[in-house]
Amino acid sequence: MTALADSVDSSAQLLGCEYCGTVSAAPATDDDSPMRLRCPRCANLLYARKPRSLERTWAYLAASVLLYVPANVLPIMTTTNLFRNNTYTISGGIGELWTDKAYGLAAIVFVASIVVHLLKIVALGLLAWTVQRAPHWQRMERARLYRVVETVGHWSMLDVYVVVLLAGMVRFDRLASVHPEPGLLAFAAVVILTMLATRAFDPRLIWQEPKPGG
Amino acid sequence: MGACDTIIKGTARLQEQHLVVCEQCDAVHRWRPLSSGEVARCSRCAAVLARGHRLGVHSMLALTLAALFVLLIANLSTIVDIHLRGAHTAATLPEAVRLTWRAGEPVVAVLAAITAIIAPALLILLRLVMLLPLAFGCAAPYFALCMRALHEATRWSMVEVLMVAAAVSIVRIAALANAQPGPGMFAFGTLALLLAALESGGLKHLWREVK
Repeated sequence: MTALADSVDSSAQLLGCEYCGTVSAAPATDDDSPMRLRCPRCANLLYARKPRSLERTWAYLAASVLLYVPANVLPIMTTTNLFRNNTYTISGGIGELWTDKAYGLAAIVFVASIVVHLLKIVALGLLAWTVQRAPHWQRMERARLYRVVETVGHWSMLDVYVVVLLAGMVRFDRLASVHPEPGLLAFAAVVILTMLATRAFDPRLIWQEPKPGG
Repeated sequence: MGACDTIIKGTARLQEQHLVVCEQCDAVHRWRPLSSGEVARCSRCAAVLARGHRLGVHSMLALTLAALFVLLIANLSTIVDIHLRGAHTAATLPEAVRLTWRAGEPVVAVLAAITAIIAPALLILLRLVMLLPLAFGCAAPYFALCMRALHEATRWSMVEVLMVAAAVSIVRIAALANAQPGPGMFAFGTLALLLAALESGGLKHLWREVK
């Protein structure tokens, strides 16, 4: 496929449909007209930019930063056996895998639960900030960063599944059992909120030329 | 709101030109057919614009049917077998979700159910609903609606993460009891592979099959 800048009438903005890929030309309108455009092929709503993208990204990010603290400080599960109760936080679980000499799994859980979470929060904060403050800075790298965040985002669900599976499978009453704890809810909320923040951010903003004087 | 919906008219001329707009940066490209395995990237931001697909409608249908059976096996059979002093439990994923609900975490249980059971099931069923009529040469009813639902289901399906989580939980259980992977675990592994194969087949080219 070849880049094509000049051969299409540039006065009309071309919109690609997110769902079917059909390209349509937006009719020229006043800036603040409330008209909504729909794809001629699949009737999906078309947007030149995701609506209120930056506001929504910042809101989801703020919520996930707030919940990030209880997600990591509160216990996510308790294991009970005849001799004692153990409560685990996220990092406690990784520590146990490490002392059990399951180094590979410990590394996977560390990346999924801690690195991916921090990466999503820091990267989206950086992306949203640079759109407003440094629009020309490292565009290609920022576009790549967004794609990485989009791709790895759902891996932070890993620990949520682990606790659900353990709670569902280890149930020998007092002999051995596993119970989910409130930290798990905060952790799961951070996973979902960061995924929503990723989705709210519009990567096209990276390439948008700032308005003169804006 | 007072907003009016406008279905864009007069796009026939554009469709004849076969254009592709990059979803990530708005750069406009001219479409050309891709050979199998070829990947077209945006000239401006290097996002993937399209892939040349190896699979036609019939092979996609075959894969989807296989995924449906594996999904049923995965959800109906044991993920991990646990033995402890003569006692034995063997839980399936829906059972684990139900027990998480009962243990006082209904929100987490619903979240796990949506991402590990409902979204994968929906994504397989929607593909079947669309591919079956296409295989016979006609478009599915509500094709556009199904496509949008399929996008959502694909976004929230996390079977491959569940697969790794099952491996982690076996190691964690080993501290408490004797644990063996059950057939459900292998079924989930297979399902993750099948879904990856289906997703690499892409979605948008299904539109090209519709006349």
